[in-house]
Amino acid sequence: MKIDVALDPALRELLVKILAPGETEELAALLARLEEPLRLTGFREGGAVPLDPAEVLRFYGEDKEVRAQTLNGAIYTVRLRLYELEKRLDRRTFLRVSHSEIVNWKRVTALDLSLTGTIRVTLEGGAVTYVSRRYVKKIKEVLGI
Amino acid sequence: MSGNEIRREFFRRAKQGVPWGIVLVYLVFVLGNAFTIPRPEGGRLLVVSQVMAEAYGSPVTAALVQFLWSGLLGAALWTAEVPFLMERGTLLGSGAHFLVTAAVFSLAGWRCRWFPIWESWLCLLGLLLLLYVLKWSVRFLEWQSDIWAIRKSSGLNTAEPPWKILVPYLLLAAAVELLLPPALMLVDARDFPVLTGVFYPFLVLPLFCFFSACSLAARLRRWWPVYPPICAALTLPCVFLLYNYTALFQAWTAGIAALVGGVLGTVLRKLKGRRTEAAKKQENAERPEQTGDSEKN
Repeated sequence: MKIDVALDPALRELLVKILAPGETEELAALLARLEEPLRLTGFREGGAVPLDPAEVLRFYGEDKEVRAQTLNGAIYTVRLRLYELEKRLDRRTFLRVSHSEIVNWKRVTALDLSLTGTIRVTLEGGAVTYVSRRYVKKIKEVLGI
Repeated sequence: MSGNEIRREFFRRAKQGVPWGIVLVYLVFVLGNAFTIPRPEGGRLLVVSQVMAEAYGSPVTAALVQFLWSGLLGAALWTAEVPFLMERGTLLGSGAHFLVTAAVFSLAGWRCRWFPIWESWLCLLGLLLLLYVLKWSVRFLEWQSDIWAIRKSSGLNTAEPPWKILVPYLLLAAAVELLLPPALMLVDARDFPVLTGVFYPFLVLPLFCFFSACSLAARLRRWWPVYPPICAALTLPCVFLLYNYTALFQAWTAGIAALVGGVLGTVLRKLKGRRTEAAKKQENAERPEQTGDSEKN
């Protein structure tokens, strides 16, 4: 799939035009994604709140559940598996950094390698997590390196 | 990788290493015999040392004992990669693996009478350490380059503290200048030491110092000038322990080669910087035209 972005200051709102050779599965999936933006629900202390993916720092597995840590430091439980989130979220923004964690790459402020070979990721607000070296290749692929 | 997966991988590699260790040790003996002049008594090919055969009473028993120790050594060497599969504690794991391999190697050498003098044992241990240091340094530089590329592509700060860039280069220099000469001396000819007299001081040392300094200077702006004097200083222990004062030229060779390499690295970095800047300027100059095109479309 080729992506071509044309900026037009005359437009008042975002216009998405899709050129396709026919009605393919890829086209259907893309249309579904555009028409229905990802809705996430976070559960915490018996209540449920809608979560904006852009406000989420990371999704991680803990006690056989998936948690979402938001910008304000709150932790919610998400009733989706990590692989399901990985499929639904924007793959260029949410990167799998280890077997049990997906990180919002737009919220990463620093990436460090220690002398012992550990890769540390610092997120907005100072939250820290680690990248598995096995996932470095995949991260590079997604980032187009 | 989980603990179980690492354990499985360890045993898989250990099993693979056993036949390789046996083949390697017996190959060393066969080749050693083939190039020994005069040929051993009766022209037979010995697969164990004469001393070992005498100590065990029969060459067959000695060969069997050596078979077992060689297999164990092969298993130890073949699992050296496993600590790099661990997510945490890689350095500690690799260090522990070196100690275990060194212990197996020393015990095998002692039981199989591989070392006629203790210096040869020490030199081979030094060579083993050199391999581990080289492996670690190369891996670290690879990881560093990956992280740097990811940072650059993500728009993060690409600057690394200078000591972090310098450390793997210093480790490599220490390995090449402190451990390689004694290891070469071990396998060098007694009558005309080509390896330690020609190959190391006139080829390996200057080339290593030149290229490592070139790579370092291309990455470090201000700190690379500390590298040439360190390269020169690192030659001194071997000059006085293995050679004598007449080999002091090695310090100059190392220092000057590193200095020239460093200057070349700086020039290359500047040229690359200019090219990148020119490319950025061109990109900026072309951008309004592209926007203009899309507006027209």
